[in-house]
Amino acid sequence: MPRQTAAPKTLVFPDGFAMSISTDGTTYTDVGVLQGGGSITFNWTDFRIDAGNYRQLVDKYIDPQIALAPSPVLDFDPAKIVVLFPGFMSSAAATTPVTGTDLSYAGTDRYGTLTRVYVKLSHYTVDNSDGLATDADIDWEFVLSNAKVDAGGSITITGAESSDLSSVSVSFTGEPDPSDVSKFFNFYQLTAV
Amino acid sequence: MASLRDNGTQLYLWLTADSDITDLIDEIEGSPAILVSNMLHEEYQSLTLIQIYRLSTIGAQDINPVTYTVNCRSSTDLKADELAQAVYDSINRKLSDDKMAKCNVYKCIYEDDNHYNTPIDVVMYNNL
Repeated sequence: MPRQTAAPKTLVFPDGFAMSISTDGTTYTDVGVLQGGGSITFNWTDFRIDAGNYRQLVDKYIDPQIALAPSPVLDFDPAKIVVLFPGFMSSAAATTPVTGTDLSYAGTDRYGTLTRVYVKLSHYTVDNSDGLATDADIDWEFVLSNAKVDAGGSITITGAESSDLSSVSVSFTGEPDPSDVSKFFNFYQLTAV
Repeated sequence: MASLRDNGTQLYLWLTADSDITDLIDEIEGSPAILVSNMLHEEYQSLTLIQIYRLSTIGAQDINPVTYTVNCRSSTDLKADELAQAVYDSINRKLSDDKMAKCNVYKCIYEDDNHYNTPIDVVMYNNL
C-alpha cells in the first residue's frame, strides 16, 4: 500500500511501560506488571465570552481534567495495592492466620481524605526487570500531577477455570495543581536521532 | 528473560522428591528415570520413565505461563495412566518457590509394542 504521508515515522511499538506512583513527586513506587497498556484522556469544558468590539466570541476552556485509566495491575503485593488506593487503604503487619500483611480501610469514619498523587508512566529502552535502568534509559515518560482515585477501584480474583490472573484496577483523575503553579501533566519524549 | 531451563528443572525437582512417583518408575544410573530432554535415547525407551520438555514459547512479556509436556511412559497403558495419575496428584496446583503448576492429562497413546505414553500438559506460572 502506498504511503500517503510525507511525515517521518515516529511510531511507538507495543512494549508496555512501568507505572509508578508518588505522593511527593520525588519518591515513586513502581506498582508492577500491567495486563495491557493504558489510556490518557484529556477533558475540559469549553465556553465563550463576548470580546466586546472584537468580531467573534472568544473560545475558552475551563476545568481541564485528565483521566488516566491503566489496564489492570497484576501484582498482588500489599505494598503496591495500598499505593494504588491513596488515602483509601492502609496496610499493617499481620500475625493471623500467619505472618503477613493486612490491607484495610484507611478512614476512621464514613468518610475520609483521598490523597493526591503523581502518576508516572515510563518506557525504558532496556530490560528493567533487574531494576537497574536509569532515567537515561527512558525514551518517553508521562507524568500526571495532582491526581486522585475518584471513581473507586476493584480487585478481581479469577477462578480456576480462567486463564487470566487476578488483578487490581483503579483509574486516576488529575487536575491542575493550584498550589504548584497549576502543574498538571508532562509528556516527555526523547529527541529522535 | 527467564531461564529457558528453569521450569523444567523445577518439575524435575518436584517429581524426583515424591516417592509416590519414584516408586513407579525405573532408574537410570542410580537416579530416578526422569529426563528433561526433547530426545529419548533408544536404550531408555523400554523403561518406565518420565520425559519432560518445553512446549510453548518464552518471550518478552512480563507474564510467561510456560507449557511443558510431561510424558509418562510405560509398557502398558494401565501403567502409563497410573504414573500419570501419580504425577497429576503430585504437582497439579503445586505452589512453591514462586511457581505454580496446573495440569491437563491427555489420553494414553500407543506408540509401539509395549510402549505407551500418557502425556500431561503442565502450565508453569512464574512469579519471577
